[in-house]
Amino acid sequence: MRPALPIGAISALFLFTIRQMVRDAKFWAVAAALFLPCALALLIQRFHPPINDFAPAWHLYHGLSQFMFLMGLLPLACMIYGTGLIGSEAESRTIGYLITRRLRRRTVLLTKFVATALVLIVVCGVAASAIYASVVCRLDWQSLAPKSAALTDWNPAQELMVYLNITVLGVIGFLAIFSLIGLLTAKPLAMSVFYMVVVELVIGNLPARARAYSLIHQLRVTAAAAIPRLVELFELPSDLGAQLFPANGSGVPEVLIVSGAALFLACVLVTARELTPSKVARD
Amino acid sequence: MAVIDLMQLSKWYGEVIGLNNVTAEIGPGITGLLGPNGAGKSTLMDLATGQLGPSKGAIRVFGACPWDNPRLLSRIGYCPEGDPFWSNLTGHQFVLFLARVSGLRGAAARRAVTQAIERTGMNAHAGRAIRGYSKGMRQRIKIAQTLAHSPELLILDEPFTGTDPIARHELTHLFRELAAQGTNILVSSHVLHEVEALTRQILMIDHGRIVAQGDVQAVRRTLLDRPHVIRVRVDQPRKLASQLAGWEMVTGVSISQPDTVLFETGSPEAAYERLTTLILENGLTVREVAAVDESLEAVFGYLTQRNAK
Repeated sequence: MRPALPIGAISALFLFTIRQMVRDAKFWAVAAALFLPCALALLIQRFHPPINDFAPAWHLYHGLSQFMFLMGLLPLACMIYGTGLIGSEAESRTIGYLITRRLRRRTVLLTKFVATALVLIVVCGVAASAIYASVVCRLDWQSLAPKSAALTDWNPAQELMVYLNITVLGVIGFLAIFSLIGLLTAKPLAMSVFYMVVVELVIGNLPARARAYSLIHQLRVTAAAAIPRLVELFELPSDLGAQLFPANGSGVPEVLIVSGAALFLACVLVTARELTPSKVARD
Repeated sequence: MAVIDLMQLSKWYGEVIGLNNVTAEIGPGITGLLGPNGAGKSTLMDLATGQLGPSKGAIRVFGACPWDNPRLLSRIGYCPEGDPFWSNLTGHQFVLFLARVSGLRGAAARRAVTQAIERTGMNAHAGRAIRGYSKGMRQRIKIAQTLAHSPELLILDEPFTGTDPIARHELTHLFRELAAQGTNILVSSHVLHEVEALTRQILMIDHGRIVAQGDVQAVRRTLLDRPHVIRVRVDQPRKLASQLAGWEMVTGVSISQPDTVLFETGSPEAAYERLTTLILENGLTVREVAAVDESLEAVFGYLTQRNAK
């Protein structure tokens, strides 16, 4: 007979992970960084000459959301927490308390993953909403709408919902990948930066089909499926744009498959590997 | 039935050997795991708690493999060596969290935590952050977290390190009380008398090998066979050395410094007695008489060499 799932132990670890995360100064530094696009939006609007239509605001909103938030800050936050999901406990040797109890190693990993993802989703969601608020809420909608022929159908509230959904997907995907990297190597941060630069920032921005291997691109595909005008932001030749952003495409299955595979491998690794500090003098 | 069964157990870290082909049974009650720093004590404990996996051989605790085995591990209380803490927690939060991760819930968890904290004498300090604790308090709170879920086996890695004599006495009393109530305890130390105060059953390891096992008295008798080096600081070292050289029980004499004689004997107690008489008869002025190699490291070194022969 299989033992019952230790719900009490799981919920204790879940709440503890959230508690430890939000009480750490690192969390507030990461949260502050996530609000940089919002601060930048306010700064740009402060010094920008008055606008006559929605176009500059549309470009500012999506430019900051795509290029600064989704391509930079969200993966960075996931990198910081994903690589240390188990590694930070192993380095401080507190992992010994957790894996010598009622919880299987993979349960420890998954519980910490879900708790961390939840906190990041909330913080990133608030940060994404702050970009929206800082750009859209300041527009004089009544006077600009008649002058914005190309953006008469602009529905920023609906686009915010798209970004919130993509934030959830992005946090799950990146956190899963960086959790796996954290267990794969003794130098997870260096390896994660390498992955971020090569796969996400270089391959993910190549004007070629190879960019489909990047998570950032799949998130863009998901966004473009809901907001077709977004493809204009990436300034691609029209035939390549149509290939990379298919009209009926969605990156959701790809992101979920990658996340699932990364988490599965992380579970295998955490079950098979000794979780000792990288440098340890052992008696 | 053995509580812990080590079957040709080896563990190495790259080229460094942690444990080397160890076969032993650790029975019920309290067992002292003795060895100098680097002997392999923590490795053995990490293997028994499923934190490390064997490189070769096997380990069984209550007949089961401990690796990723929550059903078995929930029967064990583990107190690690050193200071692995979430130091922003208070002592009470630390013990309560680990009690909950061990499966205790609600009022039962709070009750068990209060009892465990009381038993380790930490009531007055449990509300303070662990980062402000002394070394001794940290040891006590680590022990409290091992007790909260009432395990059948306690694995305690150097629990006396950093404790003052009163705390050591209280912890010794606590461990004996737990053992009397049926808890099995494996406790490591590099100080022989700490373990002797707890139990007669010991397992001595050095360089990853078992060098002695069983009743501490029997091990002590073995130790009496080893040659002892005695240092005497005296005003006339040449005169003393020439006298000592004539004794049958002395196997070697040397003058190491202008005022110091070192001599080796297989019968230290008889040698000390006769030395007193010799000093008095010859009117020598003695500044110091001391055993050079009474440290546990020297004892382990001797046992290791003896086993190798």
